[in-house]
Amino acid sequence: MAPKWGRRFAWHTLSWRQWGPFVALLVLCIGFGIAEPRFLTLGNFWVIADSCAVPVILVVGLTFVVLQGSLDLSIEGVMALCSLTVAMLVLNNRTVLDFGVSALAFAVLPGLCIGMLNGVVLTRLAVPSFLVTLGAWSVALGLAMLLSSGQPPIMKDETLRAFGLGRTGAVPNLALVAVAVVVLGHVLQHYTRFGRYCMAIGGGENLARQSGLPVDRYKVLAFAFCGLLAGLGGALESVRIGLGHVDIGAGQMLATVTAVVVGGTSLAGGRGGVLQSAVGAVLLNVLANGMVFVGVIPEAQKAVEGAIVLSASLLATWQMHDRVRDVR
Amino acid sequence: MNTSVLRVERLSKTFAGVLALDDVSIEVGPREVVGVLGENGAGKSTLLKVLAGLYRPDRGHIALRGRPVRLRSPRDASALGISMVFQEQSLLLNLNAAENIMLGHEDAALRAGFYDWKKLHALSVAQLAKLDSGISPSALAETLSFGERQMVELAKALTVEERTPHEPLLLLDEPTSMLNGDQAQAVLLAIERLRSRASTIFVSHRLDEVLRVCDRIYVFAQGRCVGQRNAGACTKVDLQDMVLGHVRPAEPGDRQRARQAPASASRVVLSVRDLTRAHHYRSVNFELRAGEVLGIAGAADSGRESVCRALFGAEPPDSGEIALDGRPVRFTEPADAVQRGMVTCRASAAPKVSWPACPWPKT
Repeated sequence: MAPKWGRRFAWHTLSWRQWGPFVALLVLCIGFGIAEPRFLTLGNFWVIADSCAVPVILVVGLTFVVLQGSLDLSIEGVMALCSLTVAMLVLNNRTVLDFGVSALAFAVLPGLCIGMLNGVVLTRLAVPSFLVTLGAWSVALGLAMLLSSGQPPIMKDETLRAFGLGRTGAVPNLALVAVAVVVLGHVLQHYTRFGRYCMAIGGGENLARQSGLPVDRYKVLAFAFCGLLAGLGGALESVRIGLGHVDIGAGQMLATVTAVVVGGTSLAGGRGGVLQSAVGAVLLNVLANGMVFVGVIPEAQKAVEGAIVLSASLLATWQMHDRVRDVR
Repeated sequence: MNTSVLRVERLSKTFAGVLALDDVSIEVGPREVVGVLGENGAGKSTLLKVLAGLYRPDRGHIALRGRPVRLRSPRDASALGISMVFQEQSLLLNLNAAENIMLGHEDAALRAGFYDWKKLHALSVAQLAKLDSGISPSALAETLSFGERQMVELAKALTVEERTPHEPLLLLDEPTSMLNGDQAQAVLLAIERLRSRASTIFVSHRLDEVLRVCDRIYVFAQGRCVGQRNAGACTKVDLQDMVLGHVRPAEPGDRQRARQAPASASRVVLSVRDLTRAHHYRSVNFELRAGEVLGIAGAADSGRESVCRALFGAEPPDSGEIALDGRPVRFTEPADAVQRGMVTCRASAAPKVSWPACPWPKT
């Protein structure tokens, strides 16, 4: 048969919406590079890679939830809970436990559970996702505070600390984990039922139901996956700073949602993807890093960031207008 | 027709005290295309939805290929080879044609849990081939025309053939109602082609379509099946009379006179001169007189909606003049038009738009 449709990925379906974030990232890098050549050094590249690692992991998880047209606001709470969990499971100054590296695997379980609970509650009770997950944020944060009880546990596991701060060759270890998570997310999105059904649900939940898809099951799965990666993000951040802390995720929820939107994934669901979201997260971190280099005063950095987000959403809604007009 | 594929006997269904189906009996033979005609609310769609397992009947029996069946869910119906194409289009616009066709039944295209896109595309092409349609499986549904989307819907319905050992029974609920002439012709051709592999119930309110593709025709009115005709042995007028039943239109003469009266005598309320909007319409001229009903006919995308949006101030024209009561006006938003006493109603069968409660066409 003609190989016209045989190709695995339909490149021609990519639009400005999908290429836009990539282009913006390139332009931003070139711009900062011209303004301050030290920005474009390999050393700074790895610094950015390291700072991107956790945000990228978070954004991959949230992307599946947003693709379905939902929102998960519990990320910060989950990060805090998993941060405390990992810190108290390894050799530390608060408990007698010493699970070593395997603590990481246990530490993400609370995230998985909270994610699943989010999914089950919002599908059973038909409550909007942002309400349920807002509640879950507080619950998880409260549990983390109970565990912490004012004395953040300090991690003394040398292997884990070395991993969190170390590099393989020149590449920060956490950046390697982030790349692995992005690859996993991309494969899930394009080559599994989970990913495809997330797209279908975001495209039209009722139509997906009418086609016989088990919509509720896949919603629970998406929230569980998001919780799992939020937990992983929190645990890795703890490993990096060597401390279990309730504020480990402070500011991350909004940053993650922003990265998803800047990357071009529609909050209405059904459009966008893991790669775009990852680019969105990298873009925000490049922006933060570059502004320091070119000497934007810290007070103005927030405003610049906000302007970028605003223009990204303008671009996104611009396309929506066209589409609505097409459909009439 | 000794062994019927479907036999419906004395089916009744009530919604909140209203009889939607009243003692309906129909029969469909193997590879027969059966038409169901009737006005809105005659019970056509209700019948199809009962057969698709979406509604449960209050009374009556359904027998499929000689065996009594209970259709409790769409899944039951689908397992028995019944497949429905809904009146409102149900494709997921953000997925490609292949995914839409195979949605929920991708098993054959999965290898160790991972999509084999080549296989998925090949499977969907096989479905489209049954309709002799050359739509690219990798085309996003939103880039397809309404006619092509309807083909994809038909192809999706046909997947039931591979999933069950039975020859399919297709339920088509006004599959052409949103299409323009050419697109509708293509869909009708496809339905005729399916005669070699499926039985079909074809619901429509277009008499000529029904006469063209159907072998037999049932006419519904107010929830009852009021008659049955062989398509070869009746005319459009016969059917029209049956559909309208006792509700005869008023004397033709009266209507004629009523229509003629205002045309020349009354004043011009609205006049449109050289109205133009690039890529939408060019040099549109017309006048509307008091008491007149003016129709604007045209296919989808012909610019008919666009002109109306311009009149209502929802979409600015590039040039031209609109005059209301003799004075030129240029509305910049619908609120202006409302203030001057204009009202619009949206086409109700239009595909879903983002603002369900919005009474005027917004862009």
